[in-house]
Amino acid sequence: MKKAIDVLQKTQIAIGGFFLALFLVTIAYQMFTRFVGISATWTEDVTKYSFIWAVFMGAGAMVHENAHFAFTSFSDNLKSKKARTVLAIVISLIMLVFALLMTYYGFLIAKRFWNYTWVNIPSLKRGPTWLCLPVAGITSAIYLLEHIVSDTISLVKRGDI
Amino acid sequence: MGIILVAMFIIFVAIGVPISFALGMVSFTGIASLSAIPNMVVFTKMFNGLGSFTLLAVPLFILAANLMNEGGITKKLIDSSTAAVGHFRGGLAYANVLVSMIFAGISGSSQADTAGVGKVFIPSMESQGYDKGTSVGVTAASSTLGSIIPPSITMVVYAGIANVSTGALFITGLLPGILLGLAMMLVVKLYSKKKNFPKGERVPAAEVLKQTFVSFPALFTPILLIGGIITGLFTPTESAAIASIYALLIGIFFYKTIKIKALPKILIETMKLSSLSLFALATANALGELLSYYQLNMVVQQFFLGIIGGKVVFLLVVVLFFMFIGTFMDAIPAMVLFVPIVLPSATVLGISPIMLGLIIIVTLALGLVTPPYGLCLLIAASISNISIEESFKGTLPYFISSLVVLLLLVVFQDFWLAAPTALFPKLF
Repeated sequence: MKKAIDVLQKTQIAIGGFFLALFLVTIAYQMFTRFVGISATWTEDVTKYSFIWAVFMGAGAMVHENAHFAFTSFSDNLKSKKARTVLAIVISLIMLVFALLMTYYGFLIAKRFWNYTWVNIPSLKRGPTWLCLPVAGITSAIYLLEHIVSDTISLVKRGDI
Repeated sequence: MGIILVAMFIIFVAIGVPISFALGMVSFTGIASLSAIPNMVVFTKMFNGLGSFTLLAVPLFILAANLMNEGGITKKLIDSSTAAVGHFRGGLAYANVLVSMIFAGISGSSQADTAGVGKVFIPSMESQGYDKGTSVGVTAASSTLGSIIPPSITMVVYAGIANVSTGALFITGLLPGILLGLAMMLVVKLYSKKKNFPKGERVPAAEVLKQTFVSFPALFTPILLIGGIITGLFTPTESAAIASIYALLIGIFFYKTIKIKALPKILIETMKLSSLSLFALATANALGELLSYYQLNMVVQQFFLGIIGGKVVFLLVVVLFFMFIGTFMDAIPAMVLFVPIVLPSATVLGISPIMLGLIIIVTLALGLVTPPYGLCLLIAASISNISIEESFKGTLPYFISSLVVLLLLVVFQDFWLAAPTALFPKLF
């Protein structure tokens, strides 16, 4: 199970990396066209959406690494290991609620705006662009569930509950 | 309801829920309690908040910094600065500030400065005999310049929120940024006698020249970027892309230190770091919707119209407020949330939005070295493996010198704006 989740995270990082690369190439191309005076308005949509996807994929993947900026003094000053683990579970649960809300409302939003079209490329639908919300939400939820389960197992193993 | 939300935020942050998720939960709870705004708005706001053109510069600046660090360009800057000033008493401390100033002129990120410059300087300062507190303190304090000397990520974000010219903000930040660096060097000078800082061996002039020549392409970057923005050759956002491309080119072809194979790793590191800041920005944006519903800006305005003292008092309150916020929140979400609230009052009082921005940016940059949540301090402390308390003690003299400069910004606000406006009227 842990392995499958690691693979999921690696894939998500790779997707985020791909979107960042796409973003960079389009930005460079956009600057080039501006200097030589060709109009390429499509680049605006592509940079915007690839940027947003890179951010949401990265943010989801960083949940697995516990890398989101947090204030850890309180937890660091707890003496007992049990208390620290219980606190970690509580934090994961709070994050899980938000991740699930993001998944649910993300789907609703994608459905609602599915048939809207891109500003500069009217042949493309807006729906898929919104899917980064539920994708980031559901992957974060999976990582958080894994953290909660492994923290609980470690509590049980140490005989704390 | 307001009190419940504030309490909820404080409790979440205090127990260690990541700031971005705490902001998200509070804005969802707040918006869910209002029938006037559909719950969905929390997430559409998060998505749309990232869609602004100016924000695109954030990953670009982080990429430029990562390319410099990974590609050994930072190391070249360090070598040439150390060769030039290393033989003075406290030489490495001076070089540390000097490199941070140059690095700040290329990168827009303070954290990247602490990580890149600190990794080299902290161990070498310690092995030369500096105490750990000083090594960490100089590194952390001088890396705050990354957000103040242009280009700067926080300036780009502020310009987007306050709808002012990024170029104008960049130019206005240049002189105060250099002054902050000089103030830190003055502290080094005062302490080098008192604490008997070590000095390195004098490097022959020919060697110094050679080192400077080798690092010239790197040293030229700030001139290229700032020059390009002033002359209107490219926009500030484009300057971020140019910084990355330039760092990549000199890393591959001139220094031959960046291998093509290493690029995916650099790219992924960039994505990880930028997504952390930008996700927090996205959730702050959702909370911003809630704050504007409560019309907090009107309340703040009423408050300030009621007290006497004018611009200086107002700005001092702004400094104290952002200093407090900066102790536990990153600069970007702090600005997203509170700039829209203080800006209208500042405008009513006749304070230039550029100066307001600069003062907020310097204050939040100082927040990067104030415990408990000061990212630059945390990064520097972890490189040296000392406690946050000890690190902050080492940082304190440099922090105080920066506070003095900040006070000068507040008191003589019109002065700092006069020269850039006269020299580059097109930018304002």
